[in-house]
Amino acid sequence: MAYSDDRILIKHTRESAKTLGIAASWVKSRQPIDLEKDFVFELYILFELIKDLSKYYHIIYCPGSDNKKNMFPKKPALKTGRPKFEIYDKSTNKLLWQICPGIKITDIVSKERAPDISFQSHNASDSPTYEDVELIWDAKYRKNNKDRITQPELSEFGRWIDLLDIKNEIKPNMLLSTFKKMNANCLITNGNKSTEPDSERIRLDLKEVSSFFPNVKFKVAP
Amino acid sequence: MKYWAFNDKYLSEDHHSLELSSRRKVGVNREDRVVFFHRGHKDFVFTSHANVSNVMLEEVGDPGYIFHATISEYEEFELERYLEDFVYSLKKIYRYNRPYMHFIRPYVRLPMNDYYALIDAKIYWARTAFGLFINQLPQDHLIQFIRGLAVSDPDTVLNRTGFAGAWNKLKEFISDEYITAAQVFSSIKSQIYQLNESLESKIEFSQIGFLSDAEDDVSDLIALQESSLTRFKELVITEEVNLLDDVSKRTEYDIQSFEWIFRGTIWPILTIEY
Repeated sequence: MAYSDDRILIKHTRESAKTLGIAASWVKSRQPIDLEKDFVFELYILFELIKDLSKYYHIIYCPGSDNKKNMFPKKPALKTGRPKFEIYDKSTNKLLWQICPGIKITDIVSKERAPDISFQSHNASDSPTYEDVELIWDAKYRKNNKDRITQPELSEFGRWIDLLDIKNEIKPNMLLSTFKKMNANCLITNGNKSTEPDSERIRLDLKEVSSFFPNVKFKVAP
Repeated sequence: MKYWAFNDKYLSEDHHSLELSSRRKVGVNREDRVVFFHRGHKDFVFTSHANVSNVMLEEVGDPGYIFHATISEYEEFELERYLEDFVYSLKKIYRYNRPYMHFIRPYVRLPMNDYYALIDAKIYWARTAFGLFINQLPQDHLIQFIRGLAVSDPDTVLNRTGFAGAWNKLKEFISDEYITAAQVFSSIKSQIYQLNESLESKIEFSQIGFLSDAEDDVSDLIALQESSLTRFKELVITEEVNLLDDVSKRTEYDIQSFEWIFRGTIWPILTIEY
């Protein structure tokens, strides 16, 4: 290879590396980007859900207020002032559900749990409890998309379903298209499902959704 | 035989001799090889090379010695070699951010391999790609990368296997972390644009971000990150070219002596400059 060609490629490599240096950390907080710890994958799932719901429902985006306006939670957060989506019946214009990302909910032993996405009833207050929750989704991002949902993760999610008193409850009467099979408590990953049998998933009243990622076909078990 | 890099200002106009005054004895001898460098305003380049014929060292009071040498077979490079291209190909260099600092003195001894790398314009692609990217990783990600490798490929961390392996691992890491992140962020951008076609209350993509409940937390905007990640992705992957793969192909041309000479050396990671 001629040095003149080398020079061009090195320049290009140097420029790409510099750009990486800028892109690898969040601009303001200077924290390194981390799809596992950041809420980015969860947000992708949320917007896919809203896209699907918007086929059948009238949806209003509530951006929240004050310094939390348009600010999604990075970690479990209180509901007040946070963005959420309100789902309305198209014909009656009745408020049916609130879809809330990353919000703390008080469970039956008075402890707070914060599922990545909670489907709350229309009259859920700003301090939601287990009585306000109808369904929950939680995301588990895997750096290696061959990795599985682990046994502890599955058990913990099962425990939350219990603690939020939604186990074996009637699921909300939601019309879904792409996500028809996901009208359930779902543990969602870009990786693979756990090694547990479907009978155990049914027993825990949950579903595992695997290979959930842009331009990839996801699978639901059971 | 020894190898040297000389500042070209000590070269006579007719290119037949070298002369400089020095406080110490100059260790350049007959039959040594010399490559000349030029410190320009913007660029530091290697311009030419020659052999040393005769050497004369005169002892004087102040500063100490006058060194005079006749040189033969002076030849200018068809293409000047830019120091910035060779930062990770010369064993002499460890100040990767300011490589010119290794060439402050009038002349500098070079390892033989460094001399020939410059003469033949040989780049150590594996170490260059590795060095350029690893020094841009945020500290946390660097540690993550090392930790992952320590478990799966400890020989790579110890550099027992040469830089071609290390570059491959880093290339994988970059794809998995950053190219993937770019995909997710730009998917979010298209989702929002799509949603806004049917939503009554639009989501302002430029305004959405992340913030925790903690009082002292700083908010981060998604749009800013999407923009820089996409820019990175577009620099690396275009319709015709994948930069990372292109570089990997070049590592196949790395001469054997590079792998041999740098084997077992520590990674070329920037140290703190004082």
